[in-house]
Amino acid sequence: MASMLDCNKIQAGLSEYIDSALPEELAEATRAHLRSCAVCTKIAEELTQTSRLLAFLPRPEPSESFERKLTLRLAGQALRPKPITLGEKLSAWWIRPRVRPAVASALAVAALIPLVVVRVRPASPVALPTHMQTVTENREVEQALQEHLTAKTSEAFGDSSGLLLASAHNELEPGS
Amino acid sequence: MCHYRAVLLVPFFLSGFALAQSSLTKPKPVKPVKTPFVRLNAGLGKQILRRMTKAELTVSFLGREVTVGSDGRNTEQWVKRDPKRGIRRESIKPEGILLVDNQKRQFLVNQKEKLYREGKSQLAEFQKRYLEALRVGEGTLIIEFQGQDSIAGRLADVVLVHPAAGRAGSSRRFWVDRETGLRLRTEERAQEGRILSNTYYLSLELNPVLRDEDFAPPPIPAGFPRTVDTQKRYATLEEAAKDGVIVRQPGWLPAGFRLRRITASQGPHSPIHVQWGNDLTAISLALVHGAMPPMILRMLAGNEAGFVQLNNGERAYAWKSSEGYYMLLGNLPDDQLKRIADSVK
Repeated sequence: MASMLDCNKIQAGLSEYIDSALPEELAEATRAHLRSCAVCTKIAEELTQTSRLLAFLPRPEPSESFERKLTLRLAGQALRPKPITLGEKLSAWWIRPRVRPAVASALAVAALIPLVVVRVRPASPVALPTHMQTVTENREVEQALQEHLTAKTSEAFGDSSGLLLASAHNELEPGS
Repeated sequence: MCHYRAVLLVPFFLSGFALAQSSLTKPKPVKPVKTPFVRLNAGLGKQILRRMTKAELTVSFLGREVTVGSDGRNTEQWVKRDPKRGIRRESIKPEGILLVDNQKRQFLVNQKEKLYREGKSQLAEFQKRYLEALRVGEGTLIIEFQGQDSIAGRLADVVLVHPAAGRAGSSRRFWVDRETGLRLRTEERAQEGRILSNTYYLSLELNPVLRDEDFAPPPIPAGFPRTVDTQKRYATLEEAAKDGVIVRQPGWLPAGFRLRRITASQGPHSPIHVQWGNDLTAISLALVHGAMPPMILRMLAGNEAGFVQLNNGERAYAWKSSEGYYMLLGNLPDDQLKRIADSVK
């Protein structure tokens, strides 16, 4: 399904698209999206222009001593003592006094918070009980629903988008 | 020693719990006291909504729109809007559904269901809606400016409109384009917080080239029966009664809802619909002369009355009567829906 994320996804890959570095399937999807999205098209045009400008800049060349200095730095790193790993740091911290009670209490509080959030937040969509089938089969019921939805569109802040959804209802899967 | 530490941790637990409770337990209550900030906030929200309503009467656009229903079902469609010629919604997903309103008539074509329905234009009432929108805020609705967001790469102002404290009805949140005033996203929620619908644009092109054919009555596909809406509409009960359309009125309605219309199909046993609105949403009472359909009977599980879940997240309370059966539709809390229904009986 196309969603609000489409533009974000497309825009994230626009640089690669302009550089022809996207796999063909993604490039085709991007082309299709750009045909219908004025905003992404504009961003793509701006990126193309930027890319063209960058192409005119002189390419920086490494200095003559670059390779020699790099070899020396790499050699120096190899001679350094082995760094302490994250696991070793955690083990050392874990055996320190008072760490374990503090971690235990923090975990307990962290476990309580989701319980509180789940119990009290009413804003998330409430799934209908599974036994509640929706009514679609009857002409009078369908007409009553259409009349009701039409009345909603006639309100000062209504719109007719819901009529299309109601009309397509039988053709769509829940969560499609 | 360990027990002593555990005792010390108890207030810590309680304070954390209390803090979580205080910040998360309830949605922000509507403050009845009008502080200068609240007034400023409402004034700004109202100004944005006025701009939005005006834009819908003046701005021409082509948009790719998504509508998501309460159960996650969604449609995707092209919207062509020309304030002088009308609106056209052409489905992309699923394919084959077309809604055209040319400000004279409204047409709905569904290829899969072989449906061609023609009825009264809803856009014709736009001027009325505009005037009503200007009144909003003076009555029973609260308008809140909530900040800014971005939709389809465009800057939008977010405004919430909801019933005043203690009043029933769903709420709507609008994302209004800063540049044009067009609504880029609309979210409708039932009173208990359930999302009823969410409509938003994936892309928007302003002042596109639209053809006259886009707003012309669509041709009737071969083999499709044409259903023409021959309903009569009345503004008052008295007007309906003069035509012999008698309908029972509820003795109680939530504050803010006013009678919008009574609709009756032609024929002695055709359904009658009575509708009330509060500028945001509607309540409908349908009287059907005939036996209750089996699906509703199954939902009522042998009872004479009960709640029914309709398409698109709409809620209804149905009951049998000597004339046939009634259905009261509206996204109100169940107890309020039942209270209205009981006052009709």
